[in-house]
Amino acid sequence: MTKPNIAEMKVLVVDDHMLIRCDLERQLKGMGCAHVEQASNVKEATDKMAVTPYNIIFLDWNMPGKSGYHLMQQCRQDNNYDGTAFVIVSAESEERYIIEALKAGATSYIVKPVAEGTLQEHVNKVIAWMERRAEKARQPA
Amino acid sequence: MDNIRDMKSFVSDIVGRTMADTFDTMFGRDISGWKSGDGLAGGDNQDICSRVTLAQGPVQVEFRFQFAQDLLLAIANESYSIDTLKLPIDAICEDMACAVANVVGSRVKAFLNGRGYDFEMDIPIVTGAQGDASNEDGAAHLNFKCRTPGGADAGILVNIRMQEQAARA
Repeated sequence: MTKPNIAEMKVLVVDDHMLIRCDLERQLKGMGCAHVEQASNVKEATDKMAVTPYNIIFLDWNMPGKSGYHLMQQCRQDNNYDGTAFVIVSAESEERYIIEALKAGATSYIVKPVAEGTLQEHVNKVIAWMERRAEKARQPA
Repeated sequence: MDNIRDMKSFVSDIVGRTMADTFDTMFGRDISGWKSGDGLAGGDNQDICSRVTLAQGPVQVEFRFQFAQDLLLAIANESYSIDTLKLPIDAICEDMACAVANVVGSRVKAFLNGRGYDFEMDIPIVTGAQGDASNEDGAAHLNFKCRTPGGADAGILVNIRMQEQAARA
């Protein structure tokens, strides 16, 4: 059994703020993640997603134009993204937003600003989710 | 639910604490020694200003942030390699100013909504140099000092305006 390994994962960070994208990329690379790409809006993200099958997508909720939440909802209707982890990274800290995102299929939810330890915790959560999915897939129907 | 005028002191306090927490988490900078002070005065041409507004019906709470460009540049240089970003310096500083406004505005919104309000927040924008708002009714001002990597102190000013528009007859 191969454990999901962050070093081998393809990761996309979608946020309209360069500062947030660069900070997340820097932290992810610090964890050993070699393949991190950035998109500054949903259009750019969908273009990249059409070419690369990402394992984890970090998505800002509020962005000019289409929201990250909307993109995640769309992807959760599409079986091609069943194995993709969506992590909402938003400054919205109200419980109602967190519940709404998790109900809509977010694997995890991080409130900005993102401290180093916090990101690691959520990456661990994502890896545990991937392991549970792999375990389920191995069980006989 | 509190009266808008009663909100002034605790909104100032939550902005102060959120700014300090944001600078610590995002940039590893201590700006915890803020104080209430004079309004945003004129502004330097080199200053970078951003604004975000919370609104609930006729009640508006506007936050205007004014950062010394040197400070934002120094932080950006230290945290990221600016050359590799291949972006104009202004764009980098404006992005940082709006990212801070977004975090602080959202945190205040969550705090107020937790007290029974139902505020919505717009997307932060970059504005020109601020006018002097020191004498405005319902305005509060916070001054922060942040040490640059060179050892100098640079200023950050936050102007908070609370307004309640009168209902039409």
